Amino acid sequence: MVFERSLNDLIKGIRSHKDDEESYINGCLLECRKEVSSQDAEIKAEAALKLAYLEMFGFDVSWASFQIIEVMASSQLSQKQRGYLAAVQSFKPTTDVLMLTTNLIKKDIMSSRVPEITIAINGLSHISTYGLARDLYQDVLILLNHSVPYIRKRTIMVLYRLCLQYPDAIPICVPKLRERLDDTDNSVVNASVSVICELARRTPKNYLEFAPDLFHLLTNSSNNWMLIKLVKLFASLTPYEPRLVKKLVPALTQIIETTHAMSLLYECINTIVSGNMLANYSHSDQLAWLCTTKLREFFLDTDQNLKYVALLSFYKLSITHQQLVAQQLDIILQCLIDSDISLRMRALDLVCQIVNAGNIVSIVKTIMLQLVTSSEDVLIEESRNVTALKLIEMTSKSTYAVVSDFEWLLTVYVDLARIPGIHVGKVLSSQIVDLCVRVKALRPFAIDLFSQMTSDPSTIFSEGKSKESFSEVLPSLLWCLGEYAEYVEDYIDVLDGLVRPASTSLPSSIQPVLIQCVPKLFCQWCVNEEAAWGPEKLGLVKLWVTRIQQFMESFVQSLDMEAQLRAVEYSIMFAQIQEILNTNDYSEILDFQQGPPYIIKNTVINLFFTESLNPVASKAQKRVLPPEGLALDTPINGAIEAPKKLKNMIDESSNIRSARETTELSIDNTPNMLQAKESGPVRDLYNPFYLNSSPSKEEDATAENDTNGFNEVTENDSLFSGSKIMKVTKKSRRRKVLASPTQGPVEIAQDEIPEGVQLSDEDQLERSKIQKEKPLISLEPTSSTLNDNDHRPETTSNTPIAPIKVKKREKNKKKSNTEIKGEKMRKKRVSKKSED
Amino acid sequence: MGIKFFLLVSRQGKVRLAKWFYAVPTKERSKIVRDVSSLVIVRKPKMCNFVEYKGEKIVYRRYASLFFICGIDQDDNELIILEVIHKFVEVLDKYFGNVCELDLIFNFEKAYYVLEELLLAGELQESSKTNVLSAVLAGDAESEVDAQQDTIQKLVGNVKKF
Repeated sequence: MVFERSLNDLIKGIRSHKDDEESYINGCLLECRKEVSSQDAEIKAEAALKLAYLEMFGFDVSWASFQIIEVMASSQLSQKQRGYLAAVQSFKPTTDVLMLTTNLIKKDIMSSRVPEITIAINGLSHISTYGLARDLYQDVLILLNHSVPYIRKRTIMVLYRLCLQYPDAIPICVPKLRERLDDTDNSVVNASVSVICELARRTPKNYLEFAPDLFHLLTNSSNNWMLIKLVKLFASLTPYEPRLVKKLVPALTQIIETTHAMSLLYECINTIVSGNMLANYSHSDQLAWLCTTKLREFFLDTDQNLKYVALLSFYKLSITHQQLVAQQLDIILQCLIDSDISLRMRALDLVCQIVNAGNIVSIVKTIMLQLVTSSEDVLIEESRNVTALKLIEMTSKSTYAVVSDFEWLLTVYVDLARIPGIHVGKVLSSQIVDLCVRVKALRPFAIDLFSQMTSDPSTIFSEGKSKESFSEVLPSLLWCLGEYAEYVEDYIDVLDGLVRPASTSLPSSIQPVLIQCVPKLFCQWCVNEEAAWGPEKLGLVKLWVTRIQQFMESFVQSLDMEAQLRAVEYSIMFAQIQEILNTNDYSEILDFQQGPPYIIKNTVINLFFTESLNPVASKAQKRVLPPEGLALDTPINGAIEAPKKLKNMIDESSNIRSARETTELSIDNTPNMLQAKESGPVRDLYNPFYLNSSPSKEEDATAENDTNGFNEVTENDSLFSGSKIMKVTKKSRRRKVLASPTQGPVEIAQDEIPEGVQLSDEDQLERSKIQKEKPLISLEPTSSTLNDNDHRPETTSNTPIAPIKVKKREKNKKKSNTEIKGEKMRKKRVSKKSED
Repeated sequence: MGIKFFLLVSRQGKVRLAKWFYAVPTKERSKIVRDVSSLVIVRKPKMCNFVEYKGEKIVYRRYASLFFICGIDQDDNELIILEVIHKFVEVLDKYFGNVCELDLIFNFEKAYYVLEELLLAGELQESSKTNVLSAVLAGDAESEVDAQQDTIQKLVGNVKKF
């Protein structure tokens, strides 16, 4: 006799094998496998129980489904219980033996022993599927009239689950449920109320007729649980029946004012707030006021949960009574800085809802304070990012509708950029630019602020984690500085701050903007103080031109392409300005004494400042009408049709070419390709290299394939190369080639050649290309044998490209390598023929 | 609508009880258990008992070394669920007599039965503690009687053989 492990032993074993739990459990699983298939019912049941336990650990026990059903069928109660428990834990809607349970459960439901019925009902509630529900709901309905209220109660609950699975049963079940509302036993009534409540949440209209009965229960019952369910139920009914509201309000008000149970109070408030009762009702303000007072009391409680649910309710309330909620700002602000993250998040959501011109300053202040003080805490980094983003969103809602003081807002953004540990740089930078562009009056202040910041080299050039966001914001600052340089007060300071040798070490996102900004500043400086023009200024200007020119030159080696490009352009431009300024022409020198040089005043400045940049709507591009006569949809070369003979030649040659190319490209598909080609000239519409005989078909084929840039080229290419093949080749030979294109050089060598075609250089080109591109093994013998006939491989690789061919290449500049190669392959074949 | 799942997790993350009220594949189950446990175990005592997980609300409460975790829908009343959890704990206490984690580990079967008496299809089916308790005890008595009858039958069968 084998000593089976009882459940206790199993548990003790697992607990003692803390280190190798997994292997121990696997061993136990194997044992269970054996035990569960044994004949002895007791052992089976014990094994089922063990499996249920192991399932809790996450192990899959679906292989034992059938055996579990056997245990379920046992007549002994404890075994049955164990079987059902295992079933409930492990059966899924996809378990295939589920249908076997139908009869089993039916039998158990009809049994005379109450516990059996209980177990069966319980199991049914967990494992019911559409099929099971459909088959069993009739039997379950019979149970509704059972003498034992315990059974009745359970039946009602399981009916809910069945109705969910099999909605067709609802019309039959609901009247029966209604009868149960008048049941003598309280728990049965309770159960039926629960079920009706849940069902009504889905389709409220069907249950409006129950309202009178339910209302009666609401006013007479003292069972809090039932009251909660009833209140919830009414919340889903009221949107459909406005008259209910009038009746409900007094009842609800009474409950709110008298009950001590917080959960009931919350439920009532929730109902009022989310049940659409506040929208049109005449006394809705009063009601809202009542709710608000009660919710305020929640905040005074030390229980964090109450604060949480109060915040949720306020959120819902603020949709209809924003002002009322905004008056509670003080307690909400307290929640904003609470140590509990859930509370903070909820408060943040709420605050975004109730923000208005009056309270935005205090809200923003609180949030910023919280962000700054929590910067050391790494755990909540994500929440800080969310907070910061919400802050930005809140202030910029509907293009800054709530903000009246933009200077303050700008300082807030800049400070936000400086707070360490949050990554909102990108959003911030676009916001700052947005602000400066949209709000003209802000520009002087903004420029003032930015120039102060840039004059201080530590803001730009310092490194470190704390400057993460700031370095993303810097480009936008520099851009604004340059764009609105006319407002700068002290140009020399700003220029000094920017034009430094350390600038070359700035990240590449900043360099181009910096390079662009400096000339703008310089131009404005020259132009704006026209009255103060004099020989000293001229001297300064000359000095600065030199300095800027050198500055630009230092960027010429930069790694960023954009920066390099601009630097080169500007260094040359400033060198020219330098030349102009250092002229020896006396008249020009006189001119320079009078005012800023023409080149700066008129030419260069127009580069930057002819038109101001305004914000563009996102749909503006769509509104732009294309110019008349421009038909975007007609194909460019659609009208061209190649003559028939040519088309045939193209087709067949392209078949071979495409076969070659596809074999070259898809190395792993060689056998397939060979087979495919050997089966005959199969036109593969999805092969991008295949051409159909008519141009329209070609267009279709090319349209279907994902373009690699080959398609238009293919068309042109074929036409082009087709023109080179002057003579019509014999179709029979071609067919042989098609049949086995990559087998040996022999077939290909049989190709005919057109007359008078320059071949030798093309040959070399083709061969050199082939060798460079490492074709398939199958191709190499062909190429080498090809070469055998006229040229040796070594010589081909060294031969230079003939100029004539270059010209032809230029015509098809867009050709890809493989296209060119294919072409050459054809020409190579052609060349072979020429040799024969 | 109703409770979606009911978990009992120790402070080290070990699952003591897992009841799922809606169909979910095994892999997802273990994933949910892992994620939710890690969310809940790191919470400090003063924090509120509600967390958000993938659009669902999670209500939890810590009793001694066990976390009782419930997953509910967005529009459900969280405070009620706290009450449900508390009811469950009270019944367990009465049934086992000063229940502790070890009791639940070694008698997980009984714990499941108590839970079944309390919740059906994700809803509270019996709000009176005494009723639940009496139902569980009655069920226990019946299965004992059954087991005794069974052994007697076996004995009789054995005797008959000789």
